Amino acid sequence: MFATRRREFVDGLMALLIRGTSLMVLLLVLGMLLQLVWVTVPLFEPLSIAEEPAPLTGNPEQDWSLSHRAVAPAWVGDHSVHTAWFEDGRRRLWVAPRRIKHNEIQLVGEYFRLDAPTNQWRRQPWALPTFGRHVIHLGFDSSGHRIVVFDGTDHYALIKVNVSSKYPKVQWHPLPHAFAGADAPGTGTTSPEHTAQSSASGRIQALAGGRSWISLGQGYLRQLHLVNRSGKIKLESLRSIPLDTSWEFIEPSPSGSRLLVTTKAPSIQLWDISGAEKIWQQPLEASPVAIGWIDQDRFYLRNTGQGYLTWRFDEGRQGFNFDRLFQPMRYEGYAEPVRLWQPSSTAASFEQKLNVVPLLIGTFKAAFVAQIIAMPLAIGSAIFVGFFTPLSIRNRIKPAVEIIAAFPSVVIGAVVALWLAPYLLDALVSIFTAIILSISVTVSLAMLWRRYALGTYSGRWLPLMPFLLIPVILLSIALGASIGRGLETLLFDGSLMEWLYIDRGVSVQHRNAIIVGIALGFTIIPVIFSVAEDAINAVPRSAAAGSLALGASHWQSFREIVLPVAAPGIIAAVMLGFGRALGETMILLLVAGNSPIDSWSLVEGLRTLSATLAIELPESHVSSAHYRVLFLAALMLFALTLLFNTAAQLLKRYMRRNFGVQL
Amino acid sequence: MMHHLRRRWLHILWMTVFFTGCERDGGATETLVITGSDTMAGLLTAWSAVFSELSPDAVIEIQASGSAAAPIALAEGTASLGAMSRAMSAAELARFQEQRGYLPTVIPVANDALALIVHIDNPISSLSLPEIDGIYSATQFCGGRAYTDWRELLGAQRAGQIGLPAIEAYGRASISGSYGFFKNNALCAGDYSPRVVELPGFAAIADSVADLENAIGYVSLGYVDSRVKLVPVRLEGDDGSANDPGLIPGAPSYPLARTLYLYLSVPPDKKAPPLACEFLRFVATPVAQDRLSIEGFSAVPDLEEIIQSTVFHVCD
Repeated sequence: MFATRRREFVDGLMALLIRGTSLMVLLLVLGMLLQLVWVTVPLFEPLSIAEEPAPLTGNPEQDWSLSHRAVAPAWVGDHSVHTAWFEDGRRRLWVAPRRIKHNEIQLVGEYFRLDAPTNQWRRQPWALPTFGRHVIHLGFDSSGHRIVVFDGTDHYALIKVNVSSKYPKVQWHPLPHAFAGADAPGTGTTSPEHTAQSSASGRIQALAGGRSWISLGQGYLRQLHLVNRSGKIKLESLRSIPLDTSWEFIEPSPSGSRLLVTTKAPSIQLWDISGAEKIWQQPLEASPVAIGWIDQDRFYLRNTGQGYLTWRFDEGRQGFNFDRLFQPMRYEGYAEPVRLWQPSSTAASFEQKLNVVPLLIGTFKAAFVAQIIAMPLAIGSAIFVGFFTPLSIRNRIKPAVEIIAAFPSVVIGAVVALWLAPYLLDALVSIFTAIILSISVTVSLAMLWRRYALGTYSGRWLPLMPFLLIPVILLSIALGASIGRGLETLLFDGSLMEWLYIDRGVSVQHRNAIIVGIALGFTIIPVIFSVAEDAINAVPRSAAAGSLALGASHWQSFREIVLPVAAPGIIAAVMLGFGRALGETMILLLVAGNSPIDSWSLVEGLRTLSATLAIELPESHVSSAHYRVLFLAALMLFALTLLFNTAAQLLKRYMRRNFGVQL
Repeated sequence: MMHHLRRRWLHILWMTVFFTGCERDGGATETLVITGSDTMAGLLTAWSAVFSELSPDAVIEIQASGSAAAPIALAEGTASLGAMSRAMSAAELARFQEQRGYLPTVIPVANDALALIVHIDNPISSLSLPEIDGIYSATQFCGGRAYTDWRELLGAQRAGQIGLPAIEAYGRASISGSYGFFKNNALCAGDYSPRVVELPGFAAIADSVADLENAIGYVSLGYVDSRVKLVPVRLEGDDGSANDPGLIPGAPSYPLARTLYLYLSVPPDKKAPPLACEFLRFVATPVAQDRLSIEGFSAVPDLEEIIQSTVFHVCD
């Protein structure tokens, strides 16, 4: 009595536990999805900027100029006392002007290099050339090897920093687009106390990173950038931003991605440079005396007598739009608009190169090739094992194939990447001829059998007959491989890759989509095989037996009776395989070159969403745009695999409901 | 009786499950977590092996995912030492200061260089920085042209030895400090070409370059072996004449020489954890310095003074 109650209690508890855990798993998956969405959504939320209530302690203008010095090359001071410096941790340059004639100023410089083994700065004197013109801005480019000089007449010059050659020649070039004349606002109207600020120093301002400059005109602002056009570096116009005509101060953010603008109307505005759009504005009571940035997310404004007003961005909101994630964009230093994935925590320029299209292309490219390789093999063997072999043999083959699924993908990845990849590429033609030959030999043998031998032998070994084919297949593979080699010599001068590259001009890489597809195909074969075989095997044998009794051949019976019933299951198997291929990480990390190429070419490398997540999540700052885009990539991966797996489940359910087949 | 036994067994099971999670804090041993550079992984492992012999109670955990992971782990407090094969960038320092309110303490611990390697049969004798930039970058900020084919660098005659003359450039992933260092110093702070193959470690790069006739790669000096050919680098500003032999790593003005750092996060009003201090003192000892050359690095001059003054400031 007691024992029974106890047993009932334990049974009840276990049932509850099981139900509870399955519910937990479901909740966990839902929670993960919610978490992904939660992290991703702020990426698209418009930037929100709030005034900080607490008064500012300290003088932000001084703090800022200190950090400014380290981050961006700057031209500080009024026109008579220019000094500029540049430091990138290894090189340091200090420049001061020396008046030699009435209108001629020579710049003298001191150049320092950090010697790596001794860790000491070595000073090297270096004289800048005589410009012979009135210089309004001078700054260094990102490399530290070049100085960019602007004069007041819409010309610029590039000078190489080269300590061994003194007084290099100065060649002036016209600016790519002329800006308005000398009466541009902002110059001349500034009070003496803030002439020291770069916001008032002229019509050219450097943006952080030393890749681009802004040139200010009446009612517009132009971003100029350095571009290498076939070996020659030039300043070109990147984009223009339609500013309000009556601007007073313009201050780029420390990252160089935003502009703080005040207008005569009095109002304060914030512009996004790469989007060329106004993202925020607020009316002011009076015109400010000074504006500036405290750090990446905070900026200030100084009124006469009223002290400082400071604003702060809501952390994490990025104000992204879909164009940045999916459309080609013109970036600093690039001649053409491109789709680019290149996040880098070391770059001084904060331009976000987070276009996910190359990653999506890579993901699908790998999955498609894997599918093309795995599908015929997996479905073919599923048909054979599921319908044509007796149960006793099936029960041995099936677990054997499924054991491949138990292989850790990192093992397959390592084997393929380190050992197989070079051979695979050399033998590509041979592989294809071997496959084609072995299939055609098998099919023609089957036809011969049908024509001449069918009915003459019907012993108990009949089901084992196909296994006699194994040596034949092996032989035809060997034959096919050598034919392939001969064909490669004959048609492609000995190497398909070399022929493609040299004769056809197709760019090729050793770590390409085909190699990845072969490795990935190997892992999804058992997935497809297992489910497809289940689907075929689940069709009641009585149905097929009936058709056989009525005189149908095995193949007829399979095609007319079994296949229509099993088809949804086979499609489901393919879907599952696709889902698995999309989410696979380790193989892609090891075999693919992780090169985010924006191309569908099968002989070029690729980088997938999953590999990107694995590589870059540890380095991304929480709540940065990079971090959120990575979560968006995870969300896309989740959605894609969910889509394919759900489709597979629905197909299975359809099969179960319509044909009463148990899967 | 059976019941009791079974129940006790269950208790033990639950206790084990429950307390395995807490073991870390409750143990008598101290743990020092070092996160960061993969280049320094071998060196740090060798150091920690010697260090554990000297102080057996200490457990050193090394997470070598890449230099870019170090500032994040330090700022979040998940590591007490951050190993980096490049200096922290201005952006990383700004982030760190934003999060913690102070700047991290930095100690240079070893000198290293990035070496350019090609296949042993590649006839190239040297490369200039603009040429390296032309091979690796999409932007060519060093001022040269883009190179995608060995025939452009060697001429059709000499490139004939390379069956497939398309240049395949190998490098590290963006989390690696070497990626950032190479970007800033060899690519003139430009962008990598999307075609550059990114591999997870130097050993993988050396293997690929040893296998492929058309490959070029950059590796830390310790990974250059007899299977590959080291390419000297010609300095910019020299006439670039064909006879110029170029510089090899170790030469005084080799442009890709770099320093490896350890970073600490010490609040201005507090002291560093004692185990971290002990480890730093150990790094300056001759035993630890002997390990440097075995791992392929060279010593930082005046390291002992640097470490002593740091330890004086941040340790008890």
